[in-house]
Amino acid sequence: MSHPLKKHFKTSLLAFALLGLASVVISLSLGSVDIPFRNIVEILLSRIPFVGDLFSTHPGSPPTWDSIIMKIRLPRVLLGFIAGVSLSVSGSSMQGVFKNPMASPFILGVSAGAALGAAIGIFFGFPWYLLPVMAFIFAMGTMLTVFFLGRVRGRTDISTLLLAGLAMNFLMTAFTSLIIFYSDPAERMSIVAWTWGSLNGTVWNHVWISLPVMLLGSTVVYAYARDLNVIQTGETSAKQLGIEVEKTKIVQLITSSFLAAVVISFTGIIGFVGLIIPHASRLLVGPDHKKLIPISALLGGIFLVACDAASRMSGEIWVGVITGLFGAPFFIYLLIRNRGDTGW
Amino acid sequence: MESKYVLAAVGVLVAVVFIIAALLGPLSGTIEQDDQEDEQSFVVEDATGNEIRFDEPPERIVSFMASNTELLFHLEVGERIVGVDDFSDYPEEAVAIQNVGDSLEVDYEKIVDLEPDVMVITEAVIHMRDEMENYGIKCFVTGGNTLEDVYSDLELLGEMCGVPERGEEKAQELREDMNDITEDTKDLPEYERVDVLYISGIFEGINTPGEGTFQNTLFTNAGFNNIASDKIGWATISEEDIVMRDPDVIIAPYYLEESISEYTEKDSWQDITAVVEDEIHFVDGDIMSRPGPRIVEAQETLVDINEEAETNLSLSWSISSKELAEGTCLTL
Repeated sequence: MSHPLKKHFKTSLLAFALLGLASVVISLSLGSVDIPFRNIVEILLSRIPFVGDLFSTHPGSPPTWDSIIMKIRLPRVLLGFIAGVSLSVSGSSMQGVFKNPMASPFILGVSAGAALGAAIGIFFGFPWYLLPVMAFIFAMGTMLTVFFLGRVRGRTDISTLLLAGLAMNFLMTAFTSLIIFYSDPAERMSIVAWTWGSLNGTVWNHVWISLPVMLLGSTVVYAYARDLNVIQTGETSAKQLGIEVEKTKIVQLITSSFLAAVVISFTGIIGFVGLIIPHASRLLVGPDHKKLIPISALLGGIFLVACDAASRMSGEIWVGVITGLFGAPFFIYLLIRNRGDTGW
Repeated sequence: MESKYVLAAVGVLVAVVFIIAALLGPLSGTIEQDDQEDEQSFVVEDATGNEIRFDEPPERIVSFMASNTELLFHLEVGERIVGVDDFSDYPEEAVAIQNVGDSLEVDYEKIVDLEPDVMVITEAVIHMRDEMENYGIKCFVTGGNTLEDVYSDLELLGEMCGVPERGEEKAQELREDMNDITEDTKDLPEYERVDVLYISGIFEGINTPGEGTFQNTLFTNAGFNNIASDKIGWATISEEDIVMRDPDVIIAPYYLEESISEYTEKDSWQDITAVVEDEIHFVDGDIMSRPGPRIVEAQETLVDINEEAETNLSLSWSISSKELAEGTCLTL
């Protein structure tokens, strides 16, 4: 079983896009307040210009339902999708740049860096819109440190890189714990909860910031898909083919840090998405980044929306715990099933 | 290569459009402000000094924090509570009310669905005030840090609920009760006070209330000397400090009984007076931790423990001094 969807890329892209839409709509119908599916569809349709006039009144749905769908569930589900896309694309980019299946924002310490940046912001009471900025600065710093530590005589040494990522991960986590130690007992638990990732309490502003970041970041990563493909065949041959390897790497690293940092500043650390989704996608469509990146993006969005729905239905278990609980065994299953053939 | 730049340009363009859209104002969640003042409308200040305007006294209240629920029931407006946090379990009527999560995982959907006129929160979760504003729900913040806060919370909540006289009455009543209970113990001189350690919880060390908490005042008024009163607010105290400061009495909530015994069985704790004299008392943790009307019960319990400990300790003190005297005689 290698790359079952490789030959049907366009069909699968369409199928995943529809699945993504379906996951959002289904997820909208799940929550602690029971709202019939029909009413949800009416509430959504009534917001669409022109078409909405036909549905402007929805008898039987109290105004609170409108509030719950439009102000609580929709932003939350959308942010879940955006976060899934951003983390997966970020992971795909890192795995491509480092030519290593272990690379991901979580493993390389970028998530921990972003979390520290945001935790510092929370601790000093920065306004919410500065949190993504803080997260990005620290994620970027961590990423560059790891990148340069991992370079031995002008080449990236994978084991050094992973060890550097591990070390930075510990360092950033230690600093975050230090902040937790010095914060109020009342705040303390909420920062602890936040290090596990949660989409509860999402507001539209989070969506309006992370959506353009997702679109911009994913476009930039995708624009370099061909270059990433060539880099996989070896840096020397890539240089001979006229590809600016160093520039490509730096652009990819900045973009992937940016993608991961912004969502993490709103949701907290959600692990495994950036690791397993690119993997699963590679198994489905093969190593071509032109196919890999779009499929990763959609699969990541669907996965996180589903995990968040599970989180909501289980009485708000932190979504990072759920991605770990579902993600890690799935990852192990993939490893066993494709031993020796992980698509690389 | 060219298509790469076209794609990037499209991406940037889309991003710019969204950022502009975001700056122009969120498409959803615009709060319509009504500047017209209703004749009946009134303004209440909460414990943070924030002014909240009401058209009429709230009829649907979500009470977040067990102490707030107890305060509202004490004001006899419990029937207006439509939602409570998961910890609100007193009085009995509160148990049947719809739960809306706890401070770690707030069930925003339930809260909005309940259509409350106001949500009563505490300073510990003050960030919820901004969150609730998104959904058009007003928040009233209670103080709850000192005993005076408890009295004024009653007055302010009474004012908000349209029963200002009742609020003042209940506050005055509580104040007087507290004074009556502590009349004999409140002003004891330092040397007559019993040293106490209150263990409020065991989380990353031994947690204890220091200066600025209402618990510290409860202990002081009951005739104790809180060995952690040099610490500010909620603090952790090291085992070394506990051994050195040598409390005569250790008090803790019932649910910590097992964890405390793990400590008191340690060799290092065997010289602590409270352990030697078996002066380890367990109390209802809820009445000790909630800045609500049941501070009266907490105060009574502490005065009783103080009295008991004083008799026991002075008895053993006299014995030990007798033994000491005999011992001294023998050696001589």
